[in-house]
Amino acid sequence: MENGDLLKVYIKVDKERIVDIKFQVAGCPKTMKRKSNKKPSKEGGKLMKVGVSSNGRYLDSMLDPRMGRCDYFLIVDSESKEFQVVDNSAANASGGAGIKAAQTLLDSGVEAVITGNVGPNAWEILQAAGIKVYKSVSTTVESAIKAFNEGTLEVIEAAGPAHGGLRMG
Amino acid sequence: MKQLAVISGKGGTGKTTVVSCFAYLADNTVMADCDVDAPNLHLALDSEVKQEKEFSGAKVAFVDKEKCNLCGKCKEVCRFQAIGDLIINNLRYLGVTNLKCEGCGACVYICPTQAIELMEEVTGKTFNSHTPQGKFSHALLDIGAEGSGKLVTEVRKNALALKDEEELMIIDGSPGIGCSVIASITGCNGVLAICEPTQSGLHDLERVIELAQHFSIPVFLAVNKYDLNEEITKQIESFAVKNDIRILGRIPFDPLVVKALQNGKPLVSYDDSPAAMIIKDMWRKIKMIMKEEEK
Amino acid sequence: MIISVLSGKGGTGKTLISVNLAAVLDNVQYLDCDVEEPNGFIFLKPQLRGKEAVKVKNPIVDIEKCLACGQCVKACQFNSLALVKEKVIIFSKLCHSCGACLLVCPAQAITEIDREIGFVEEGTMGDLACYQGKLQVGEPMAIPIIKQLKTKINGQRNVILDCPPGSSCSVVNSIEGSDYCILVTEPTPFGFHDLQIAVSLVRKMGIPFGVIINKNQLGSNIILNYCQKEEIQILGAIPFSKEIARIYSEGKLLANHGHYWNRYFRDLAHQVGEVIGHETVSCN
Repeated sequence: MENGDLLKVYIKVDKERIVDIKFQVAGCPKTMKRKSNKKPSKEGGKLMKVGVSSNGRYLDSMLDPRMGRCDYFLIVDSESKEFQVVDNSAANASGGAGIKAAQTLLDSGVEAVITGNVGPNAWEILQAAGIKVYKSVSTTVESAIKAFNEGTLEVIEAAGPAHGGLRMG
Repeated sequence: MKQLAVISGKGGTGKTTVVSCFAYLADNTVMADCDVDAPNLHLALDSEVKQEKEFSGAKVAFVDKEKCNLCGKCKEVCRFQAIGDLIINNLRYLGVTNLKCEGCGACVYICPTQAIELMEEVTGKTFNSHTPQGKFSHALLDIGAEGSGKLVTEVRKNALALKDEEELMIIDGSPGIGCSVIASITGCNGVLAICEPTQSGLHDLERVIELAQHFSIPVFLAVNKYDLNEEITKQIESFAVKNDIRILGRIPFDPLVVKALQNGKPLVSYDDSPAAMIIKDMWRKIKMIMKEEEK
Repeated sequence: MIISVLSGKGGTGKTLISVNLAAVLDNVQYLDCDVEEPNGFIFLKPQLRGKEAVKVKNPIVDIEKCLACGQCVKACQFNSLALVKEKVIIFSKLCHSCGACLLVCPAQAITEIDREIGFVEEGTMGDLACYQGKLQVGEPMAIPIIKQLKTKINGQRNVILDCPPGSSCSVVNSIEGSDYCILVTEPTPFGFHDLQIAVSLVRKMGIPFGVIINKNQLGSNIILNYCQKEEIQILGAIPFSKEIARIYSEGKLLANHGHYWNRYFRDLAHQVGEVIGHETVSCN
């Protein structure tokens, strides 16, 4: 930051705990490029923002195993179960669906993803972002989050085959 | 649900004939015709379209004449020669040739008067059909349209959505090794390559197998009309053996193939068809392979 | 004069017709535009004279200048860019080389590099100049290779373009600018269905055309009837014959197999020449 830049900090407090911090900067582009999605998080599935590929817009919707082509992502706070629905615009993409889906998840500030299969391009993005991917199929979003919290979900260690799309995604 | 794609590299080798036979022999399958340029599977199956949907495979730029100031910056940035001068009623306009436009949006960005917009273009139709052999997803790409890969992906997505109790999806692929074929085979459990005993067929087979191996998908092989040239059939088979490709069968040339199609009857209903006999045997082998995999 | 040979359906005989026509014509170039699976050279067996790489332009980001603003990612219609931890990742195989990302970058941090996707090769067989293109296996886009191949066309010569199967953008790019199209079909339900698709395409592109019925059998009138109804010229028919199939299977030229077939293709060439009203069609 430089003199003359304007920085606003927003702190959300719940039960005497800071649960969210956002900041907003007006100033030179180099400063503006910092993203504001910093959130306190812990390992082990507690208090994390988790992205889940879903067939529907609710917690009791079925998880959709196809990360690139699902209709929605539910961005769920793993502790409070509060969630946001994000449309997966990649579902209609002619190519690069996995890439677009991964970018959407990244931009939603997730720290972990629960899905069935991740193609090689999406994998490259999630790896670079340091986002862990957990495997779940044939279950509701809610059950998947529960299993995530209990630590019973398998971690996906490598990209699956490019699925259902052009190799490139 | 497992997915098996039937491809060939070279066209006209008999993919659709084999897939339609498998459809008649199998009980629990969904069919997908991924040859969206020139689909033929619906001609071999007794199918009835239940649902038809327009498909938008591409975006094209559209110039709003009211806002356009004719500066021509769009023409300069377009790398596909898709924007040109139009003379209508002695007046000059700038217009887009849809057939050339790739929908990249460079012109949209550069236009100083925001006169250009990207619009979804309908480039084909998808169909969900019923056949006595099972559910069937297919499509037709508009003449000359781009985006066949995306339409193939849509056909497969629709086939998956049709799934109920079915255990297998059989995909009729298109010739070649480009985006349509890639979109047809990615994520499949196996690929069956059909080859004819010609030098061209062998050459094309090598490339399509390289493609399948590039995506780490197990390949099986069948030689169709093998008796037209038995020496080349042998060459094809040694190539397969050398590359660890399991040979499922040698289908003889059989005039009943065309006759069955002309009569609207399934080839496998002809007890005296030598081709049908081999294809039935191939199907038995595929079922065994699937069972082995499950163990 | 540029003649394209296409079919809609695969395996009907495009290459059979193309290579044999090329073999009997004078002052001719043969171009194999089926860059995914080219077969023409198997028959023409030209002496190879040269090879050039086909390259496409892909973006490259200057990390020093990049602001990680994400404008390029937003602008790319093909999802070939992603922004992860303030670093732009490029997925080259999805890139359409449109240059939009270069235009939108506020810091001019994007330039382009060349990436090879295949090659174009040329050869000669006597007076016949042959060209083919080959797409690298795994690359999805054939069109840049077809475009580079077509830069070899010499409009003063008789040019035969052997096209890919289907009716997609690859075929459109191949036949564009042709003086005439030969549509090859077979008298089967599949052949008929796909012929109609090919006819729609050449009509849409406004190119005059005629039909050759390959693997013809007595009693199969499906194509004849259709052409009559649509007033489409039939240039000729090649009978279904195991002998022809065998010669083809061995990668041999039918036109070199005896006087009858040599004459057949010469007559075909003359006929096409007459139809287009071109006088320079001559045979060697």
